[in-house]
Amino acid sequence: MSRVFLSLLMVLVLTQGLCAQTNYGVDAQERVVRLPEDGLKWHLSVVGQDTQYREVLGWFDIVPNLKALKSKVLFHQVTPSDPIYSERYAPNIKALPTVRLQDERGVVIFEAAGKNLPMTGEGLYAAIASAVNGSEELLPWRRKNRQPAPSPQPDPVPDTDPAPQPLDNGGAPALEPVDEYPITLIVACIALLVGSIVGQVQASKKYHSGIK
Amino acid sequence: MKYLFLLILVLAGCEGIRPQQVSFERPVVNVPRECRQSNWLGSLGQGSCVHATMISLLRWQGRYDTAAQWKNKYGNGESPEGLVAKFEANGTRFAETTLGDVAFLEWAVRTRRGCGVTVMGGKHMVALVHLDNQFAILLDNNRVDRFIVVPRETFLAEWKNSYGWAITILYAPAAPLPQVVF
Repeated sequence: MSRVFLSLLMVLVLTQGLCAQTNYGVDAQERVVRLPEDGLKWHLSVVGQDTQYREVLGWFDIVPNLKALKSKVLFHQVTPSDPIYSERYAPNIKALPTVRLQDERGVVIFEAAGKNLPMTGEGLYAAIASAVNGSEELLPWRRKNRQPAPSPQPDPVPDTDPAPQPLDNGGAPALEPVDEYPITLIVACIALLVGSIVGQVQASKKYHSGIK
Repeated sequence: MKYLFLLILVLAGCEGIRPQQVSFERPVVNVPRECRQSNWLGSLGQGSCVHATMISLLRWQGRYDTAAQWKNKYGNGESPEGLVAKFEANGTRFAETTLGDVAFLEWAVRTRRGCGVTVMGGKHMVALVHLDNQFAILLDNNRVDRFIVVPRETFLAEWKNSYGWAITILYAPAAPLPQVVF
């Protein structure tokens, strides 16, 4: 009986030793199985340092629409004392405080600074929504050329925000794509053509009258 | 006649409508100078390259307080197990591979977080701040004044022969610099 017990003990000790060796240096197990794919998220920066800055920051925790927006973007609170400010904000900030919304490539979709900031959170949200929708209206071909806006996906890390969607209110309206040759341009070209023909005829008349 | 020529020019211009183009930052993880942590000698006289790299990434991801605490609290050489234990003790969210998985590096750069990567046969850690089809860009904590550009395959060969360990923290990376659409 004691031999069997000793044998079992030996096997246990050997197994423990092997496990310890496996765990040393290179661990054969990934720490995070599913990584958050949030590279397409939009960025919302609130930059400032005074009481107005803190008030604007507060809107993102109080106003429901702004709160929802905050949870769907990568949200940045930046003060001039932050190490990141001097290189990445100071050269391109017009005034403090600033609220800036950028898409995943860095293109500024909305920015309001200093006195141009709306005086209420609801006003700020309306301005952001207008800018987001307006950007799609002004550049309707974006929807053709860009990847579709990612829809919310399950996220393995509880604290990590869901995938980017610009706004809760449905984002950009579904607009018809604009023709590559706008109608106004074609009309202008026809007018130019007619004008040139009339001009030629009149010049020809003058020329003939001059001979007379 | 000149009107007709002008008309042809206008119509020819219509062919020139191009899709939107935006320039991207390079490196993607463009850590500002003030956020880069230089290597230092710890209490045991060992270099602190792993901690220096993590501190730079913490600052890039807006965790200034954690970075300051980390600098005061830790130092010297570090193993994967030791660093993971420290992250878990501090409640710091992180992700890592110790299997030389290139997809992990691509994910870290794609999400603009960057990651620490082992080099020099596993004796040193630097930050991977860019990885595309041609090049890898590194930020070495022993020379934080400049980025190091190496061919992608050269870097991958170095990394895979240095235990293939890569690790990063999981917070929001800094916003991109404003880009111009042209």
